[in-house]
Amino acid sequence: MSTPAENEASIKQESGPSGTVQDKPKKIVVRTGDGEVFELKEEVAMEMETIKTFFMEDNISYETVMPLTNVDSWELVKVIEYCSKYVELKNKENFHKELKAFQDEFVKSMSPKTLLSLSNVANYLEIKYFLDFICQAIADHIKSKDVEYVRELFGVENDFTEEEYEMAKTEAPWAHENLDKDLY
Amino acid sequence: MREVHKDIEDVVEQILSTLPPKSLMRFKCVSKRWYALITDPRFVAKHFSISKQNNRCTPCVLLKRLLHEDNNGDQTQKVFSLLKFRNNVDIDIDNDGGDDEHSFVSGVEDIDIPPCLSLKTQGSSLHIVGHCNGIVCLVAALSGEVILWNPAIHDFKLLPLQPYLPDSPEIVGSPLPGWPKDVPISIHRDYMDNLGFGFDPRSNDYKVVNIGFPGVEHPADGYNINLPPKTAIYTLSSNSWREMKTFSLETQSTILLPDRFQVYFKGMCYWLGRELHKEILLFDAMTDEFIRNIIILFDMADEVFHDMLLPDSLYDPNVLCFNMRLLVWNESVALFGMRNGNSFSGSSFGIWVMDDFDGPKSRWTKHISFDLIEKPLAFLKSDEILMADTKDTKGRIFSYNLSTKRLKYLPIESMQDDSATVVYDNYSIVSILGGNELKNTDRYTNAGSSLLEHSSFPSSIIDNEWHSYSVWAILPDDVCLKVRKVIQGLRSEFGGPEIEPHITVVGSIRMTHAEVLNKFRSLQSCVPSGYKAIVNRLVIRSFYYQCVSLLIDSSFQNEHESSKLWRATGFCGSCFGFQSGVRPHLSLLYGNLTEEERTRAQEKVSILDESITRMSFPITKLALYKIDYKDKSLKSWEKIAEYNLRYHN
Repeated sequence: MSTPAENEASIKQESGPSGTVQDKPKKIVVRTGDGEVFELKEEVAMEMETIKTFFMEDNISYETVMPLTNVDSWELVKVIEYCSKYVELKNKENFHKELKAFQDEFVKSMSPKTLLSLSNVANYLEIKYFLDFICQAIADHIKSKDVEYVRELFGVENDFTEEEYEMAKTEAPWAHENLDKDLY
Repeated sequence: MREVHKDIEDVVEQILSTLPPKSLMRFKCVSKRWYALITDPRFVAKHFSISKQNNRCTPCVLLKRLLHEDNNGDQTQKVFSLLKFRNNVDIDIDNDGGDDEHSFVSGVEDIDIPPCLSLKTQGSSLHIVGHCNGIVCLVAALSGEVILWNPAIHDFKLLPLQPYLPDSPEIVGSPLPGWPKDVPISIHRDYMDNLGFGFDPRSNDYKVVNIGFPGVEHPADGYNINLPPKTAIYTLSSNSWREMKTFSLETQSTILLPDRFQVYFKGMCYWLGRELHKEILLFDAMTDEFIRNIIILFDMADEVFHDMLLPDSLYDPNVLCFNMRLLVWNESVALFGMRNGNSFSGSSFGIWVMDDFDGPKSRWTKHISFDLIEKPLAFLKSDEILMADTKDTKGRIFSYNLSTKRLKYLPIESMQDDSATVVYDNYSIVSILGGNELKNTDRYTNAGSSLLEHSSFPSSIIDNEWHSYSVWAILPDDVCLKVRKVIQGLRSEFGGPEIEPHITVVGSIRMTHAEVLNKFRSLQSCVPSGYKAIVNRLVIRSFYYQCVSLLIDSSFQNEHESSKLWRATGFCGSCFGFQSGVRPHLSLLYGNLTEEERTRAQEKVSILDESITRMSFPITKLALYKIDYKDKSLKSWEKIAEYNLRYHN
């Protein structure tokens, strides 16, 4: 789906004589924060609220290249991968089963940090089902982890003093034990 | 271009909002910001409502068991066990090994009763009252101590003892000459059933309702007086009890007695209870004081009691109904009952659902009849119900699938007290201790209303097709004038509504408009003649509706003049389906007065009009009134019909 860009010229849409319908699906063009230009199928692009609003609200022509400054190209690749698959499976009979299988594979290939980056992208692009999926995947991953791990993953600094930390811990000491024996 | 940038923190919040309670309690220690987020009531509510929506949350069954320490069976230990069920999301989607019909028990966890409890409590049996939003309410049978407990986050709170209600029934006087004092001869209630627990969605507060024993008085004139129970309420926010002065547990002629707490649902607490006559002649006490079985609801926000009738078929005198239970089913309240219709059909279970909360019609819809004769505990899923095998010596329970009608026993034993079981979602991080240890300036603002229990309960549930009516004896105009003056005089000092002077002949009639008019018309042929009303004396009662009233002579002995009144009252009552007549009062004041105020009221009446206690006058008119017991002003009480009685001096 991606087209390496040589220049910044916008790619013209093919328009036929009035009255005839083109076979070619419409494309939307975006540019990521690291300068790459991507061509998206319209139906996939419209899954992302941010893009949808950009074009729909002010009736901006598809000839405009939308800047996605907060998104890196590798992230967009992953987003497109998921959304395309979702759109493809959407109306099928075994939707849930096949989606679950795809989700499992999708998550396997990524590290927790990657997932976290993607969650921010999903948030920025406003793709609800993708955001829900990624957040759930991260939640499942961290639920049996300890405090240190979570701090590291999220890049959160420990601003408790020793005493404060101990006090907070004693509020629920049972929660810090037996981390791998949960039934959940 | 529209800029919609959610804060990066929103992503963190979303990730956290699907985590199980144990993880969240741990992650409070990640940083001060995380601590503030996780303990923020807004987040707690959101977390809980999300857990209810998606199928990540599995229902848990909490029940009591009696475990044997050793094989002799001598040493026993009471424990609470949490049964966790696996939900279908975790099971292989092909369901190769799983059983579609029945939930699969994935674990049993025995929980220690929190050691905070006093010695008194530890010895006695803990009984489950109810649950709400993941918080379970327990009561200690002997000491009456109440505990709020969230097993998911090991959070518990021992409530202060309530100081208002008596520990045992208050009985004044002795019912019969020779009968031992202080021994109740009528009302029996189980001490553990008088509590209700739920959530007030308006004030975002958890409340416990304590319904005391109803009082009984024997004023030595052959009558038995049933007083409405006193009630007290505890709120978590104030961590204290307060007495509720309520008039909503009585009508003009009856009291509403909540017997057994059933369930909390959407802002209302439900009890099964009875409606009893207020004053009844003693020799009839055993059978006649009972009028009907009803459901009593308590609005947690308004703190008002309402009542509701059971499905029509359960009032059929030819049908014996027992083992009734209210449970939550499919986002509605359902009634379970066993019917013993006739000798052919034997006993069968029926489920009626309270549907269409708004609509006045068809309050109950019968959904299912099935032939199982066991005790329902709770619903696991919409078509799977947990039941107790009452005949099983090992004390087992099973899950029953309503569609396939097959049952499967749960792999645990030694169930004790099968009624003390709840099925609830063990996923709530609602804390009951309140307040945080760590003061944190960097807190999220508590914006907006709570997401917990947003639906406000429409008051129109009570306004169903069956209304409340009364038949009143109307006073002659000159008497009316005298009485009005006294009523007004009392009102000016003690407050209260403006009462239309009358003697209640039949009270608490519940039927449709058409039916009641019909019966009232037939009354004309039953009771065509008037009779004399003789005032016996002024009485002060612990009732709201007969706070200060004139007791009218009513005797069953034929030689007395007042026997005509007694007979007429009896006929009127039986015309509307009542076994006994109402004791006639002419109320002068409605209210809840203190002892001291009552004495003053008594004096005031003699100041206003001494002769009022010696009146006698003819009753020449009967009227039918539509009564709304929730309208304290009485302005909505309206006369529907009336007719004149033939009277010869």
